[in-house]
Amino acid sequence: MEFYDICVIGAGPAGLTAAIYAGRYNLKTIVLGRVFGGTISMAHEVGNWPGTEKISGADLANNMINHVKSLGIEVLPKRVEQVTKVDDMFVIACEGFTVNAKKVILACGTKRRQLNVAREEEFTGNGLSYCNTCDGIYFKDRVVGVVGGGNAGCSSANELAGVAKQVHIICPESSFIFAEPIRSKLIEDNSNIVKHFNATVVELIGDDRLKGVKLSDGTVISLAGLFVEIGAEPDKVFLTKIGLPINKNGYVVADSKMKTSIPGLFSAGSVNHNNFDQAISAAFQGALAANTAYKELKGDKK
Amino acid sequence: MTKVMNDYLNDSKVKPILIEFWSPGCAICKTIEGDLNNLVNELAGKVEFVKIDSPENMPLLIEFDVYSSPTFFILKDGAILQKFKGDSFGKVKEALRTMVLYGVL
Repeated sequence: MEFYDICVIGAGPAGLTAAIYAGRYNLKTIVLGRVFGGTISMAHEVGNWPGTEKISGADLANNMINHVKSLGIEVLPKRVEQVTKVDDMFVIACEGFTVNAKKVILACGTKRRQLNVAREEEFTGNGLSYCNTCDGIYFKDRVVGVVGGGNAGCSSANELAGVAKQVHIICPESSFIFAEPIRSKLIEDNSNIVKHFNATVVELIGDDRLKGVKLSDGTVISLAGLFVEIGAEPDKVFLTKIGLPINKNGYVVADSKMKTSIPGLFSAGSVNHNNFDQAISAAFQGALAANTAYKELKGDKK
Repeated sequence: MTKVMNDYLNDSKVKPILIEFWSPGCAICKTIEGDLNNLVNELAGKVEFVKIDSPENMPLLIEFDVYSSPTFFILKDGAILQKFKGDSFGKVKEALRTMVLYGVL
């Protein structure tokens, strides 16, 4: 079993920034993450990361991973199952793998919100997708749908319009009120995007793969693919399992130094209650969590 | 010459094949790359590994009925033994190791 000063759970901007700071503090650090780069790695284009006018989410994620590795820090593709505190040490259990660490920085982000419609799991990967940058190409010259009218929904619809024959965007509101104007305007300018307002998906139709959807207003649309872009939320089951209190919306509440109610366990990024869910704010929280952990460890060594 | 599905099925009569359909925008594909290479090395001689860039092989996607990245197939004796879609590398690894253990591969 390996012993570390810091175990970072999550490999998105919060976790990777925490690791960079911890590495530069000379702390023995490991990063365990299910998706290298986290949610940002699935972004088609990032235009607000300082120093880069435009970069794909995948390239930005790759840069961050390489930065962390250049400091000699291990980044492992592991899904963490449990975190247990034994005296002053944390035991972090993954499938077939256990890590011991003095401090834990929880930066495990969020998981994509699901439609909660029958047969959703069955159709996932068989026409239903939560990632247009990963799967959009499979629907070249076909008709697809996008559920969601926020920034992610509008961006996905625009990107898919460049690949698919036609895109149906299904928005629960009466307009794209939750999208930045720059994104919703692109929808208006795109002739192969059909808009459905005040509508939700009530039924997924198909046999061995998705063939269409039924909307709340009774409309039936034939589709080869459906992309779900209705936001994300922390994994409540995991957070509850590790004994970390969550607020009524399911988020962790950390203090101004990123400390949680469990001494030695810090949280950073979109797993935290946060009104500004951006890579830049996640990176700030990761840096701050590493700094607080460092100060505590330094104090321990005195 | 570009291979079609039947070519891969025929090849699997000589040696079992693990196929990965991936795409450049697939974060999961990138994340598992190191572990997948380790698995391929571990099974060298027993299983042939083929990596297919989905955007460059549209006809194959239709033949194999693939809609997401990554999607894995295990082929043996001219047939598809198993298909895995999405974040399923752990299951792929377990299936291949079990097949080797019981002499299926």
